[in-house]
Amino acid sequence: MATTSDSVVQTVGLTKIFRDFWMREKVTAVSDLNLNIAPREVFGLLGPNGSGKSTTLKMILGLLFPTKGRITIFGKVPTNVAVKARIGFLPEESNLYNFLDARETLDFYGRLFHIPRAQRIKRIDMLLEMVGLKGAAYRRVGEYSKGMQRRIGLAQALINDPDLLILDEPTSGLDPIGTRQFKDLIRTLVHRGKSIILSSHLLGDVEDVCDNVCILYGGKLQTQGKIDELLSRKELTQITTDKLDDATLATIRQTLEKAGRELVEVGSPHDKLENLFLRIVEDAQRHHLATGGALGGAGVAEFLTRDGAQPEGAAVIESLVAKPEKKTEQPEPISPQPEQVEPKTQVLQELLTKPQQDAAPPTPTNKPTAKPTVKPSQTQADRSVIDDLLGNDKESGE
Amino acid sequence: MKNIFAVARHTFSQCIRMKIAVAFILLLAGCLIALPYVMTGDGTLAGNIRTFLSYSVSITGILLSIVTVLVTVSVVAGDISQKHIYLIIAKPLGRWEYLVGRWLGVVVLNALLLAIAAGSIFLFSQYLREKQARNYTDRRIIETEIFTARQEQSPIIPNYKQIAADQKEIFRKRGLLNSFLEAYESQRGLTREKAEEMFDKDLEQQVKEGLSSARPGGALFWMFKGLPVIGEKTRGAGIVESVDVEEARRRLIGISVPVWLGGRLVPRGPVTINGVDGVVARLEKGRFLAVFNPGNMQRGEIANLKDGDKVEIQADPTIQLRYKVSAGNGAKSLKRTIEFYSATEGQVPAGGGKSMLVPKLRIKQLPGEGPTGTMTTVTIAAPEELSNGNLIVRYVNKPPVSSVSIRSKNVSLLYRVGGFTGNFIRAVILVFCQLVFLSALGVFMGSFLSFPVGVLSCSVLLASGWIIDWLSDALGIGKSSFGELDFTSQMGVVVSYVVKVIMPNFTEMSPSDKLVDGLNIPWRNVGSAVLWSIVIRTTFYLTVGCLIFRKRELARVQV
Ligand SMILES: Nc1ncnc2c1ncn2[C@@H]1O[C@H](COP(=O)(O)OP(=O)(O)OP(=O)(O)O)[C@@H](O)[C@H]1O
Ligand SMILES: [Mg+2]
Repeated sequence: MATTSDSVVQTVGLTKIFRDFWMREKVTAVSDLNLNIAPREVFGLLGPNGSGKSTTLKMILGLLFPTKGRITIFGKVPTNVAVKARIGFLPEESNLYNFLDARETLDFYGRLFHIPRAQRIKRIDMLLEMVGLKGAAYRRVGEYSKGMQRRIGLAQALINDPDLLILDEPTSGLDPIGTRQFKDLIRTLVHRGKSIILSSHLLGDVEDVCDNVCILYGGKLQTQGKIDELLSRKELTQITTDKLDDATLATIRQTLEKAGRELVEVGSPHDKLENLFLRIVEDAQRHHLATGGALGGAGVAEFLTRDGAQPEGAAVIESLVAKPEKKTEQPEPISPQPEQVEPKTQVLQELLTKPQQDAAPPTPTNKPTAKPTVKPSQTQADRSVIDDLLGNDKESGE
Repeated sequence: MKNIFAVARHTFSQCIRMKIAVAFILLLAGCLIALPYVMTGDGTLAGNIRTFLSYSVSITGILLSIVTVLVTVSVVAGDISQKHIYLIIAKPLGRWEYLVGRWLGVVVLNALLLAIAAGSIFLFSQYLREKQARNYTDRRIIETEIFTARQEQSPIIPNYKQIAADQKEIFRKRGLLNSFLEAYESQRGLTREKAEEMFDKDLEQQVKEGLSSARPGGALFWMFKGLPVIGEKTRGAGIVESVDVEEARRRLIGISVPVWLGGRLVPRGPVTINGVDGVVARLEKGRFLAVFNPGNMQRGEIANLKDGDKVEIQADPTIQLRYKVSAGNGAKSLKRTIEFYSATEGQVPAGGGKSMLVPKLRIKQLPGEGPTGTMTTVTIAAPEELSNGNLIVRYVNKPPVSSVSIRSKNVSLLYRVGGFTGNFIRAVILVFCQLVFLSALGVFMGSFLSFPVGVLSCSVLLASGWIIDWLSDALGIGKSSFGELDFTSQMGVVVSYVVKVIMPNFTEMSPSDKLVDGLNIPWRNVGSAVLWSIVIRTTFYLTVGCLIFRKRELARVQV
């Protein structure tokens, strides 16, 4: 086994079983987890709801104690106080004191790190600037929107310039600009030699920033490794160019056909982590692995599809489906054309009846990626929206 | 330390933002404003001041206790239930530092609120003190029985058992005992043993009653031993208002004095003006009349005084006798003479009695009339002869009315040992000790219980702390041995014992009674409150709280 000295966080056989009042076992939230997070690494914890991501992070911080196994963090146990000076933590919900304003919040946490007054004030100013809340600095945090609270939560985690940043779903609630800035921040921090552990459901973000990921299901490690290696599919070749028009595509298709190859997919590489994720989770579900968390979900609840509700339900789905495609073309109102409704619902039903299909998503939102047809992916759609918002800055994640 | 202060600061501002301070001040103000309407005083200013002091000090203590418990439990339990603790634990501060910081913050808040409340109470009581008293007695009570700090000393309680035993011996010698016992046996159908037990009890009771009652013309006396050489002379300044010479007989000088100084003077008592001995005649609020006899009136220090001159006043210390008398025929008021004697060591009897020889050296004689059924106070200038610390007080029941009885426990001698301000400060410190303790209790409860359960537990303990003394009295605890009690009372004993261990003695620490009666709260009491309530109990609860907190999984959901 690797020595602990050169890893920032190491867990060995980490297990957490939640028991009830009578000490009966209720749920195994984390089971025999071995992680090793190296310095300068961005480590992503992935997994469906209730797979044990937050539980793992809480154990790393000493908020929960492992049932079995061992954790070291900078070579120390999680309850060690001194070690906390090198950590920044953003919990799942921001958990801020409602009665403080942004400045006071940062000041309070800054004091706990014994940052001298002058430096504290300077850092608070810079952090508020960074998270874009300078204008709202004197408003009570309790009045903030979720995203604003998230931003202060992030600022609070950075006040001590931590060597290890532990972030539980950092981008949830953040707007696209915020997300983008967050990713830039992560890159900067890593460049300066910091380590980062984050859990997230936004696979695009994870893929953009993480070096290593692990995917949990039911508290068990399903797969772990360098993101490039996990995602590289040796049997495929991917060509990335400027956007192609249909004519050019047709030409390429012809060329490939001549060479006896088939054009499998055109699109950004960023949907691949999603595919990997879905594959692993579905595998796990197919093998009926135990989980105390959420299962895949079984389509739309029956009552939502009945008689009167049907057109409405269908419209909701339709709007969800249609949105990404529309956005790439022209910003039209979401209300769908009647003739489009039929085919889409059919596709959905098809998907729902064949859950084992390779890319079948657990929720309707993922539908556009389902068919291996020539179609811009959802992620790409999002990206161009972001780019629109950011102006003409076309530089992508890599 | 820095961490503790940071958390304490945070706690303090949290409480301020939660408007606790405002709510408390409003509540207190509300209670005090309502006070005049519920006040059922006797119409005297002294009565009003007493009611005000007693209510306001108790209400402050009760309100602050409740606030303290609510706040401490809610900040700690709230941090856990609302997950604020996630962020705190991720910072480099020990869990104990967090708890101690929370405690300290509430203590500081308490100090502030208590200072505000106590300051207002003090100022308002001084305002009341300045108001016009109803009459001279009213004023004297205000000055010498409220705005003062007096030490109370009980007389030597006679050894009733011994006296009864002696009496029994006499009966035996006269051959009467046997017939008494036989009468007991036959009349009540008892065994010899039981009869004797009963007889002894009755005899003791009879002795006790006999020694505390006097027929018309008879007298009761009490012996006080080891009185300290009482008090320093009070010095102050006054302004001459009028000079009046009644020929060569006497000189009357009207002098205006500060209220506090006037209160130290005793009518017909000695006073020294510019070093010349005189006697206090008429005493009113803020002014009195000093009378000088012909021998002294010629002395230059006073002979040349004019209106507006400043004079130096020196007043002798006073002692007071407090007693409660009940009349056999239910009379409202009785004629009596109270006599004070200095006693030498040899004259000090083992117990009290009626038959003691009257000591030679009579210091003072106060003829007059006094009410029955209530505590009555008489004030005299402390005699110099008291320097050996022994004093005998005789109560002569003047005929023709009825027999009187005064129990030894209802008699005490009081002498001034300090001022009101100092006493008030000590009283406030006692209240503060309670609050410091309650903060620790609340933090302790919050460290492992949810808010409602924690508050409930604290309230139960608080209430039991308040009533435990009364309760153990009611249950008769300590009067009979444990084995003789029935099961419920045994449970009561166990519970009261437990409460006495885990809670400080709130009754002992509640200062309003003493304050109202102008009784000194000695620093020794304050010291023992600090020791038991703060040093020992607070440390204990905080330590246990910290140990529990350390072992707790703070991210566990608590329902
Ligand atoms: N305090 C607790 N008591 C009992 N069970 C818990 C507790 N905390 C978490 N669990 C259970 O442990 C499992 C893992 O929960 P956890 O919060 O780690 O999931 P997660 O991966 O963070 O999910 P999400 O994506 O929804 O945030 C779940 O089944 C959850 O019900
Ligand atoms: Mg989570």
